[in-house]
Amino acid sequence: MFEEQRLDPSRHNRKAFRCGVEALDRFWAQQAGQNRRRGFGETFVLVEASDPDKILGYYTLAPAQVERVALQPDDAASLPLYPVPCCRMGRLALDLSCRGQGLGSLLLALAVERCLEVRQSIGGYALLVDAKDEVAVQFYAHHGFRRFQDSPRSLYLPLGPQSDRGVDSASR
Amino acid sequence: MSLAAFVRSAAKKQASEAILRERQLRLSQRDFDAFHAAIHEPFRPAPPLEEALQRARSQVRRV
Repeated sequence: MFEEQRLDPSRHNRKAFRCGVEALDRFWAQQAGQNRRRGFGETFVLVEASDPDKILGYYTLAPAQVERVALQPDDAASLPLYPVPCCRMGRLALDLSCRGQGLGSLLLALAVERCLEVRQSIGGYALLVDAKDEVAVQFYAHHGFRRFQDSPRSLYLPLGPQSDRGVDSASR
Repeated sequence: MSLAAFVRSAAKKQASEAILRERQLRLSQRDFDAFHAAIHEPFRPAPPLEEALQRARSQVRRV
């Protein structure tokens, strides 16, 4: 059994965690706590229930919005209000010792689940991610994320219209 | 305005601009059109995601 917890710098041992990607490890060591205070977003960690000191992986979520570059005056009148509110997963990382167990997919599912709840309560039409390389792009695409043609490192998972979520949650 | 106050307000402005950049995704017209259509479809997770969602529901206690 696993547990998902909100990152608590006073409690979680961040020093023992290493995913092997330097930028992510630096973020983790220096900024994860600061980010929360500054309003960049929340960090959630995955631990084994029987060994809660060892962090297996984490992800961060923050509010985001999608806009289009240039609005043509002609279409502006016929379209609903923009920008579109979304969630962005800024980071997802797994400890080096935890590879090959499907835990990356599990973390992603936890983030999606959380976004579906956000969608239901306060809105958020899609989960956005920025993939750091082609391997990451493939990982997200495998899980149904869609690419943009003109922003190739960004992908998104549509979360469905709000009414749908109500039906889904009720049938669970 | 004192120099110190100016530096503080410039730093603050820079920080809030950084947050805004982090929060905004600007799409081309064609990407926005596809995105707009996609978010109106019902949520149907791809099989690998559905499998992971099931596993998350059965194996992860959320605190």
